[in-house]
Amino acid sequence: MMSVLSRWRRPLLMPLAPTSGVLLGVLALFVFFSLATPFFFNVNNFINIGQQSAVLAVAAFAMTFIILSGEIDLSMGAVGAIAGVLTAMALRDGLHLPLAVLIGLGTGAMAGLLNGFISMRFGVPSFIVTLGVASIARAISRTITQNRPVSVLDETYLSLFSDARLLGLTINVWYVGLLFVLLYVLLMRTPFGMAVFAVGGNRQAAHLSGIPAARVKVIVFVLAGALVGFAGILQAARLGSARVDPINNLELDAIAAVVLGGTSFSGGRGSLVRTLLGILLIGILNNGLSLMNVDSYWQLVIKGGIVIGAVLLDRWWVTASRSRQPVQDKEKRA
Amino acid sequence: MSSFNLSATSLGKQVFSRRNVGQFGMVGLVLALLAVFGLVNAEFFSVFFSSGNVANIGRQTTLLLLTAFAMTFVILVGEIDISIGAIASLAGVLIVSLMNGGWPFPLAVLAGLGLGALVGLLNGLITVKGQIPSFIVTLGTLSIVSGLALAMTSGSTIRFSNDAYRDFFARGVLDLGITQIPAPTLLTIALFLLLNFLLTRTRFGANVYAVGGGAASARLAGIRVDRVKIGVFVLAGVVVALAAVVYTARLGNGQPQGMIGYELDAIAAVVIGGTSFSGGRGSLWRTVLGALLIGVLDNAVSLMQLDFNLKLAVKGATIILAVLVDYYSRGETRS
Repeated sequence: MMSVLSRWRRPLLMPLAPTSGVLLGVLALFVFFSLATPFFFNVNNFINIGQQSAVLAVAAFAMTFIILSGEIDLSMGAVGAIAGVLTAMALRDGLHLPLAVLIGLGTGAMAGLLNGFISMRFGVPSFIVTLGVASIARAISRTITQNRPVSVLDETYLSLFSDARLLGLTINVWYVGLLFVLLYVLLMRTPFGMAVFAVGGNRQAAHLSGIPAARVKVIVFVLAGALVGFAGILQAARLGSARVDPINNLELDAIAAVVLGGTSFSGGRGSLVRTLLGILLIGILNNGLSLMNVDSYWQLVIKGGIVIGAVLLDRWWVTASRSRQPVQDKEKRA
Repeated sequence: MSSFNLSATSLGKQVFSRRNVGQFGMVGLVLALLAVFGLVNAEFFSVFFSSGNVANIGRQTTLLLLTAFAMTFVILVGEIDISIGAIASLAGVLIVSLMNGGWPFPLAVLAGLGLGALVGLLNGLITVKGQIPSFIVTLGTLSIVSGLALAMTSGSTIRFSNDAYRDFFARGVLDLGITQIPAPTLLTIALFLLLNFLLTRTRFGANVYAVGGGAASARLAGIRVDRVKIGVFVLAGVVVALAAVVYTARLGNGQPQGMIGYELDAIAAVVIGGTSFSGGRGSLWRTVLGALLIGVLDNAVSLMQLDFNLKLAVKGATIILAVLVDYYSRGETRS
């Protein structure tokens, strides 16, 4: 039996409580770097952090949907790369800008469809399917480019996806903000979003309550693929050329951002807000450590340690807060 | 079902029964591919089956086999370890720098194996005690360990000259009169026999299958699930450190990121062999088969002088084909 108080308290505090760990981490890093280096605390640097994190942010949004639905996608780096390459080639060969962008998004969506279809239709773990698709995507982008980066000279493209500024912020940060709002509404305010949580939480139960689990997951893969295609487009614009090889560590960093935020790796529990905090944590960490001239090799060590430490802390937090809840909840878990 | 129905369709059904496809499907696909190569290029077979090339395949597959042995245990117990490439790289540069620092090679190798065991222990402890998915834990250690390897070497390859070490682990051969077996192959065979014994003839091995099949019921049956899992992670760390020994001995140097990527190839070999990705079902034999399939394909594609890109595509397609074959032989879907 729940008291009136806890009934009132839970909906209000529950969404905040599990994120407060990562929120605390972000604030702690923020204060630390502000004190540790004179270059951190200024507006231009904050804009930098946003600009540097944009590609990762888009991929991490995609990964949030994937992980929430109980799946995984290890092809993001390779798919982002091939989407960027095809967009750049289309521009080079004189296609109109909107068409070239559509090609990039479409490539991502097609790869997502492949991932989702094979893994759902044939009951193959998405870990394996996306590993295979990554390998194939890498081979295709190497072949069509003969292993040379494709430079992007189109001024409109560069300004539209990287250089333009609006109210001081670079345009890719605006895209991230816009996508965040759109995806948040999709996830939290639509039946589709509910279905994503449902299939990730308990696929069988979702199936029995009439949710076409496989179809929901395929749609999630296609959506994520299109987002990754967009990440590839942003990356190509930022570098001024589309690189052939997979975007460095994109899927692993995206997984780290999602999990750092506290979204459950087994699906069904989590949110985009948490992912945003995870992205912020990684972005501030990268930026601050570089400003402090920490050797890039030691940055890897520190980042790895923080991923493990944060997840351990989050696990401890969740268990501790569970043990404070009424007995019924614990029975439900068991 | 009458076994004397000899109409064409019935024969087809009998040949391509789920059981047959499951057991021989992948081998059949590889043989078919080889046949196509042979038809396209008349001299393909005489080169492919020359004793020099067969030895080549063995040599090229050694590292994949060793890392895949480690991954087999991890996957069988229902976990995943994406840090093994990084662990092997760190163990390799540690061994090389210790030898450069004047350590005798057996001691340096022991230190390397100890390091592998230590990182494995860390992976296992955090996974089990923290109840965190091993993918996340090993993602973290992957980052830590490869950062350490890079920091230790300032990101560059370190050379060494220790002929005894290189002879013992890479260049040496066992002369059998008719043929010579290279030392790494010998090591791989010995390790296979040892690990296969461990997996099929000991209580630990039985526990690995039980835990991978279902941790909850294994716990109810009195198996100390935590210990089994930690043991598997430690074992995997040691085995991939051994792979690093072969790697450094063969190249004569230690590369801080040299073996990164082997974790994915090892997963591919295990899955292509038909070991269940969700744990509890599979064997080391299957992994040998999977790794040899990848090795044979790689080699055949190289002999056809097709480029590296095609190799990548073939690998990706093989992974997906293998799981499709597995799906067909099981005759079920997930939904």
